Amino acid sequence: MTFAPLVQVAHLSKRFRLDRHHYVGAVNDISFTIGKGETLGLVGESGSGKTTVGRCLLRLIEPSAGSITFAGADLTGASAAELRALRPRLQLVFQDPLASLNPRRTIGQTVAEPLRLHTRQSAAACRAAAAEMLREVGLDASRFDRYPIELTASEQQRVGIARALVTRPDLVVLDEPTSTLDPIMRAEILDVLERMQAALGVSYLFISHDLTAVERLSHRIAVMYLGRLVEIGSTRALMRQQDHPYTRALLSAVLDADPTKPIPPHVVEGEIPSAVNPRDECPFVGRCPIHIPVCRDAMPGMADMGGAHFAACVRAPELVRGAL
Amino acid sequence: MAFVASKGPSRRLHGVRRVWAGLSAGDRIVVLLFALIVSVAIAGPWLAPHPTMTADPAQRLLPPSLEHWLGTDDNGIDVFSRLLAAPRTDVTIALVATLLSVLVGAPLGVLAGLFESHPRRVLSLTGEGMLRLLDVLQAFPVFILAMVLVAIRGPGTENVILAVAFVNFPVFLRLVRSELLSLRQRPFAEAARAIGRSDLAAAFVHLLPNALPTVVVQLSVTVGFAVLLTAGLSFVGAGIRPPTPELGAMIAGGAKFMALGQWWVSLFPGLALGAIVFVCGLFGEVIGRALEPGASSAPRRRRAPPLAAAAAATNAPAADPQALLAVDRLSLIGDDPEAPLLETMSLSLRPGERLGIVGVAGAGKSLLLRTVLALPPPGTTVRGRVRFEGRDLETLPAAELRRLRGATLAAILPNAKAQLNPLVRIGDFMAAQIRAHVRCSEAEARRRAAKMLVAVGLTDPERRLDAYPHELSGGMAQRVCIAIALLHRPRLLVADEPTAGLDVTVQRQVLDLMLKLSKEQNVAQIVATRDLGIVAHYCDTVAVLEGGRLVEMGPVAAVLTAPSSAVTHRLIAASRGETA
Repeated sequence: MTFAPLVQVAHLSKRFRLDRHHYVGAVNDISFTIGKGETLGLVGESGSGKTTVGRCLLRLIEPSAGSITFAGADLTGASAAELRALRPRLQLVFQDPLASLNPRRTIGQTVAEPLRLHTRQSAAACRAAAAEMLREVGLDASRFDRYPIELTASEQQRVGIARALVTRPDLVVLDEPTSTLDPIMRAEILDVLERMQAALGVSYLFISHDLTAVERLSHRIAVMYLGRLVEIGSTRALMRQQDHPYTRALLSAVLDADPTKPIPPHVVEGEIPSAVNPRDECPFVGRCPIHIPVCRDAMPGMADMGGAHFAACVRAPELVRGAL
Repeated sequence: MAFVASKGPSRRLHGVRRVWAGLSAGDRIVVLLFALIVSVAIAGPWLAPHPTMTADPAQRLLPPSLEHWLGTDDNGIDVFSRLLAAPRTDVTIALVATLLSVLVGAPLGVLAGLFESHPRRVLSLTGEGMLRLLDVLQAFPVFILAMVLVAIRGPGTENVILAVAFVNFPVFLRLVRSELLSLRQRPFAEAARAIGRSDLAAAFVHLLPNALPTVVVQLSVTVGFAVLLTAGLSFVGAGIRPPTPELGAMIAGGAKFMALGQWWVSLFPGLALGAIVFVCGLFGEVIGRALEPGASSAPRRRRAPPLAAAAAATNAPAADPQALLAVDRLSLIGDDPEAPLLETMSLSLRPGERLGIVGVAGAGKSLLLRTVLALPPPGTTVRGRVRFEGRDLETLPAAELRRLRGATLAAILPNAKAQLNPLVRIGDFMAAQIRAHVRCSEAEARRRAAKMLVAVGLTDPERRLDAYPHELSGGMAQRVCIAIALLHRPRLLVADEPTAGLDVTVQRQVLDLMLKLSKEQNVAQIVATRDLGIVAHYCDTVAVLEGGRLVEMGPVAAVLTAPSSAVTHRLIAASRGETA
């Protein structure tokens, strides 16, 4: 499946300055595209910079360098007023559903608010549209006047999704939307997201560390490690064959619920290192089981592995051949 | 959604009645007293049995009697009547002045909070300037400042109101500013920006309403303080002048007679003043509690589902003579005896056995673990028995239980970092743990601690012992917690979501460590988790909970490949991200 491009991110970087000599390299020189109606899964562990990428994409955080093109317009140069006009088309769903809802507003008020802000419809029309959207994400009309705390976590997250989708956006950044939910609620939310994409043709940037959820929802998957993109490819290809040793490690750590399937050998030790003043080298070199001296010389470029699959590893060709 | 099914509309009370229903007896008394003060402030002058401003020299300084309940003052006016009339002056001035100060202070507080971190330099300087100006203003003692203001503008009700409002508005400005700064960090504030609210609109529409409970509490404390300030100004002659009935002026008027034994003239207004200030303060706390979102909504209640057909697990198993832990018909009763939090659960665990506990959120996994550790939540009642090494944990003396906990019965809880005291170095914390159970020297304890850190796979133990918890990563902190749990060679390790919050590549390392310890040291484990993958590969048996009931239990391979209950089916499908 191919998609017409909607978002193009080129050489995006975000640095958080600590003091005169130190900065956190949260995102370093990342490029990717998201197509219309496509879901790009962005996976990585805590500290990999995936949340920062999502916030930069919405300009909720100002990028330090690089450009973001959205529907043909330059998002990085947009003024505050232009940005506000774009807000209905660019939305966000949060990790912690309860915390993302104003505790003093009813569900109906919360979902109607974006419409009140961005359309000239009457209050009654906004309410009706909000009620309709709540129904579409699977919430009963009786919930309309309830407060967030009266709902289950799954219902709260549906409200978050309804708020994001009520203005019919082109792109929704899903920032770990299922990570605080139990597995059954997670599956319900994934169903809702899938159904809404089919109905509205919206694009998702699905940020998560949960590979099971990402695999289920994404057309393509991008893998981040320590602020760098290390591999990107179609979900099917990436799940079959990982061309970066970090992606392999990430997949081997997923435990299948079937006790008869043997668990894959566990390959990496240690933890993700500090992102302060990152060096120009492969970010995974310290934990990589197959690293060689050249890995420390420079950040490897994205190598085309064929079939729109890219990996930033100097030993990727050997991995593909099965030589390692 | 089964879990909120019991919260039907019929159980929702509205408005005042709902708030009243949620108050305790003490709180209700405070509310009634506050209502009394307000009523007297409104109707007091009309209720007075005697004239409140007309002097009568013949009745001068009479002691309390049936005619004059609280005596008369030096003008021959009935003290009780004046006391009924006075609050109108004091309370009105205080209320108006406080409202004025909050109406000015709160919006300025919002602006100050928004401006000071604003990227535009003009605005950030304005915000900073506002705060420095306040510093100067607040450097003066409040009372002196108010006195000076009244002295400049002259006495009179409006000027007292202005003075009291002026000295109080910084309180609200600062309060709202600090509330705003913390509310801005909350995700719903970012959500407001994400849907396209401007910062200013978001602050007034979303943040300020959430600061209200704190403001209202402060409001009522300030009213009390403003009453005191008004009375104080009048006491020194800089506020309301006689003959207008006013508490401060009344106290001042009677003060000189105190020494002559005519105590009633000052004492009763003084007591009244004290009572008003006190009740205002208490009233603030009551309102603060009532305004918390969800404070008066019904307590969390989960509906117990109908028992699964093959719920043989709820029957008491034949007593296993080798059992390390035997849980026998355990129930945990919360507020509603009809819907127990845990219902007649029975299970047993042999030495070295690893039991996984699964279920959806709210199924009772954590409650079961806490009850097994003899740490049930406050306000709950435990029925049934938990026997550990043949001893009944519920009836064990507290000292025995302490000796058991942390030694042969150890726990690992989620969010390891939160359990380590941020002010204590890892080594000191571990040494204290060791010496709580074993008599040994400090150096010996440290040596043992270092050995245990190596055992859980931490390199450079000496450096880790000297580290504070914030210097450790999540994975390291969880390893330290496991090391602490293992210090005394426990026979049972109770772990609640031991890898929650850890990265997947670190999760495997922690699980492998727990497995290795279980095998090498024959440690039995109970692991509560939402991740069936952990159960499938790191446990021997699995217990499935739903709505506080044990619905299925058996060997992992049997339960996960041929589940008998609907919830297990759903959990297995959900582990693949699918709905059953």
